[in-house]
Amino acid sequence: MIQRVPNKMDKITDDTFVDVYLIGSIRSLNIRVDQRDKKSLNIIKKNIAIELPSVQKTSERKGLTLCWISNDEYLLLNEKKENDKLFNEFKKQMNLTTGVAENTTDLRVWFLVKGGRALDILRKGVPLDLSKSKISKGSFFRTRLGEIQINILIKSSNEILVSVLRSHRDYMVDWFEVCTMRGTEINFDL
Amino acid sequence: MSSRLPQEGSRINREKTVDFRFNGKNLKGFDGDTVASALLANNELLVARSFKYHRPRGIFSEGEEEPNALMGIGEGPYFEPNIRATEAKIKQNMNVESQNHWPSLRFDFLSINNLFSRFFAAGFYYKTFMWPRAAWKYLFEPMIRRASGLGNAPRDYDEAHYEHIYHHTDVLIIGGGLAGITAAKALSDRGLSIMLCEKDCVMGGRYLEDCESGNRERYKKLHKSSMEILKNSKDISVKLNTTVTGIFDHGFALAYEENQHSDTATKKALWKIRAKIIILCTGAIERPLVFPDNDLPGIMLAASVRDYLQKYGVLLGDQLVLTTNNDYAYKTVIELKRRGIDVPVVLDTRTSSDDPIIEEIESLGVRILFGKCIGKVEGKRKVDAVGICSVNGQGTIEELIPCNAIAVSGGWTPNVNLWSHCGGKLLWDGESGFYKPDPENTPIGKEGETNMLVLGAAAGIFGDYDIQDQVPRKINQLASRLKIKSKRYIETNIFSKEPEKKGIPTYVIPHGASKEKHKKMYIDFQNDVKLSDLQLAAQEGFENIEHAKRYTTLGMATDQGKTSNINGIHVLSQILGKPIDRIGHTTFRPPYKPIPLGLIAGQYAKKLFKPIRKTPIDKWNSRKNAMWEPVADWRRAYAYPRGNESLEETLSREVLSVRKNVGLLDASTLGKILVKGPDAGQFLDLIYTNMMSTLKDGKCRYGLMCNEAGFVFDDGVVARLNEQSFLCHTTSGGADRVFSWLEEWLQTEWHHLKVFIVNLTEQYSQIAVAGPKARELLQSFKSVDLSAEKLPFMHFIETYIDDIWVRVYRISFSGELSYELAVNSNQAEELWNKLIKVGKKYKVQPYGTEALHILRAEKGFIVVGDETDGTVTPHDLGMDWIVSKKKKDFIGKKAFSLPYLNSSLRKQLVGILTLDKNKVLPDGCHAVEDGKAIGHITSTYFSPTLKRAIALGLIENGRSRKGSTLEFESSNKESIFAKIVEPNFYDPEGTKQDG
Repeated sequence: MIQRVPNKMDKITDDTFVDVYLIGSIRSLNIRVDQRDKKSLNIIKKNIAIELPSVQKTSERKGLTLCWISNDEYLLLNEKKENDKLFNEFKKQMNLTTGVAENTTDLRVWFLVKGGRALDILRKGVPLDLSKSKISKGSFFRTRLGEIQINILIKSSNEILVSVLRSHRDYMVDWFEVCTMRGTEINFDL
Repeated sequence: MSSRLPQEGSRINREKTVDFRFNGKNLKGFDGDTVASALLANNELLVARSFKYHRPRGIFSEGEEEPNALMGIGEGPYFEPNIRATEAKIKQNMNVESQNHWPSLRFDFLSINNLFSRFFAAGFYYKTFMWPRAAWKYLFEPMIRRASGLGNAPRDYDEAHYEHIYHHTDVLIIGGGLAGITAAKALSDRGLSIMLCEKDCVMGGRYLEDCESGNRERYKKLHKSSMEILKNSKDISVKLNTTVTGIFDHGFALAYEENQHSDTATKKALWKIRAKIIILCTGAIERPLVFPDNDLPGIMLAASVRDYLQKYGVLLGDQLVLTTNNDYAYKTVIELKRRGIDVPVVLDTRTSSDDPIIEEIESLGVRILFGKCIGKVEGKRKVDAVGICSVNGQGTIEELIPCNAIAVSGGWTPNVNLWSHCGGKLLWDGESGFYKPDPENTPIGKEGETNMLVLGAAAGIFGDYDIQDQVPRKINQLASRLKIKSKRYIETNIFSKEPEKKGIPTYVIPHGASKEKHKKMYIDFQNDVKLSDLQLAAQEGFENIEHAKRYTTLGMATDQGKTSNINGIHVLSQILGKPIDRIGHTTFRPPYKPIPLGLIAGQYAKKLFKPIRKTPIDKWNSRKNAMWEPVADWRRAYAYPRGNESLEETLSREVLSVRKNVGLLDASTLGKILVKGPDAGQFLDLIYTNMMSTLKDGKCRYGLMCNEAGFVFDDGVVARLNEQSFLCHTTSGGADRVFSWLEEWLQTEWHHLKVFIVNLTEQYSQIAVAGPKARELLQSFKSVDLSAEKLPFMHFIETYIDDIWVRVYRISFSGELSYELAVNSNQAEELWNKLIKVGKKYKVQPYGTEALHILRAEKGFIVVGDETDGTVTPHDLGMDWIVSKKKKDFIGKKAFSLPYLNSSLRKQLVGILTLDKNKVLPDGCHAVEDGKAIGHITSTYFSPTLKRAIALGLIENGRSRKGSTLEFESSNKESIFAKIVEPNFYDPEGTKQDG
């Protein structure tokens, strides 16, 4: 799972009921592969030695996280500098097949949402069922938040990575500011 | 007069006084008071004026069914109109204002309408004010609009905090009364997630307050233990102050939560709930009786009189007459007598009753008159006396009883609005006199299964014993139907089986009332609909209940007929001589109760109103005070004005900078879609009108996409990265549309092709470096060799500028020597800064989208969305050269053979030069010939390069008109004459693009 100690300088929310950090970019590859294309699948298994994740899940190994996006699309995240060589070699090998591995590092920005109510925040904009009973560590969702596209990676019920298109970064910062305001927690009375 | 009793009030904290203002008058209430209870406690009986006749109105109920007491509450940015005084809690220094009167509530000038009410019968505005014709617009309509309506819209920006919340649950229980609580308990521990929404601030509904005094402790004990179960259950989540306002297809419900957020603000949340099963425990609403003058302040539903006593210690009046048709309403008399309040008489429309409560009442010394009702009410702005008459007579007054309040009860109506919202049908229960849910015609879920259950009073089951008997049984049946493995829920029924409190359905009294009395018998208080209005509607042929509703406004608007529907249906059935079940009922529509418009917007207001996409160079653009232009969801720099420059001067400077020196454009918004795979070329040949598969590695080709109808869909440059990979550029606004288009064709039509696509629009930013000094500027970076030999036109290379990787395209949208630099977005701003810094030597200037448009219009280049509008073909644009004659197939090919698309009468793209070279044609203006529009302007500018106005336009048979002069008409009817020319005004030979 992705490990990153949030830089306090990047904390974008203040006096809120969860903490939100702007991480910036995470090295990533968008992978597209036909499930019948054994050559491409073998490269995934051999080069990065990760099992393909099942629907809305991730697989992880040594700082590399492979996220399920759809039946023929995955997102590979690389959190460790020492994986760069492996990462680049994988990209090269993959592009020799009929599959695709394309660098999309700069395409998204990532946020880390921390706190006991991290999931609650996303429930203010994401139509999926994000109740604690329905998701688990390592779940990954590509969905929408209000009008924008969003990816959600559940590190734990208290730590969630969220990515949006980089052009939506400022909008997302504003969204977090509004929706994490103290007094607007999602509470039940009994 | 209404007043506060010295003690009592389960909802108020007498230790904490709250100051508030009503129409400028300082009043005091207690913490926990509603506006209504606080007003009654202050003897404010007159609180509103009616919608049409401006009749004095008072508080009629205690809950959401309130038709009269709609208030403007709050001030400035927190002001909200049309709030029910019965639902809003008072807050310190709250400002409350009554509505719909002038100059004051007590002396309302428009109450003159009441005197002329005979002229304002239902539908009067359809028949009157017909002439003079102009008077409707300038006199009658403004006058009517001013006189009618409810509150005024707020003038300030709404500062309340609104938000949306998504919630998924297995079961949604609506209503926290006895039925709802029992249902929740019965469903717990079955592995289901349960959400219970209660509109009130406490659980319990009516059963605690309406129980016999001897049972109260036992009931309290049950309630306490129930609350403990709910609290300790991991399955159950309870939301108070939350009203479910609508139920839609497949178990989707909307609920409105209103809670205190801070001392000054409330949090208002719209819950978007997805539930597999919905259980309606919405209870019932007490129905009034219709009698002459039944709308005066001081008349209230009987149960509400009780509620104000018990919850707020507020007494409606100390001489109260009850008029009813059922035994249940007698509880009000008991509660009043227990507190020593005078009840001069009870008027019961029935001939008798054998319920023990009658004896109890009589033993308290209260006079009960069976077969009697109210024939008139005396008083101007409050009740002074009631005239008693026989139910079956014409309303002849037999006795006048002084009193200052009237409690009225015509029975109870199950609250079935939500059941109806999503298609549940209703059954008429003639014995009880109400519509109730039809168990054979229920709302259904996505699999076609019944997904809603209705329990308790909402289902027409009223006794506590019966509810506690029904609910576990129904829940066990539900569990069995859903195959939920768990033991049956059994609960000991603590209630004793009491004789059912009976009533005989009666709606309008006295039965033989004269027509004159009908004009004073109000059915719908909120919309001022009288019995005589319904008679008129029926007389004029509006016999269908839906037609009568629209003609009279019965049951419309924010009220949705909560207290008026059944009475209205009965009246219509009487007039038409048809049984009620043949009259039917109107359609209940969401929202069940009014919700603020801000709630629908949720958090998506102000800075969250619309997601604005920003490029990596946006910050630099901001620092340079760029003017902005929205391009799809992007914000792009429109121009970079300097000092006191006018816009024209700025545009001229930017354009000439590109023509003479070099300019930089932030072109990051261009769509960039990677198409990769062994069949990528074949796929693109099908997508574009021209051939792409023959494109060599390292080369670029301009391409046009059409839809199946042959109309231009998008355009852009395609670069072949390698044997299997193409990078397709799209318009800024078209990237997502084109990406979906490609994916759709791949997945549905050409799924056999081995092709994948990836949207890389934001991975790469793009910077255009355009102008005769562009090459010099770029070659200042030592690593770059961009000579014409190394990088010819329509080629690209990958290289480094300093240490920044770039893909350099030799393409031009300005007609000048131009390079477009694609760079990884994280380094875009850095590259931009380098170019600006190094470019100083070459007088580099950034230029915005407007200069870009002028430059391309000078060259006659099209812009999709300007020169095209979804009805334009490549042929219309004079771009036949881009439509392949060799390819067997591509999207749109078939359409090009249609005669209509080849007609010479179609509009064709031409260049247009005004005869007065300083006269810029208005954008979109029409070309006129023989009084007929024959085309329009698509792009129009003053060209700083040519120092004259230029335009592009689509003109019927335009190409054959070259050299001729046409008349163009501006929106202010000014005629401008212009010559039709080739659509290329600058460097037609194309020599400039090589530098």
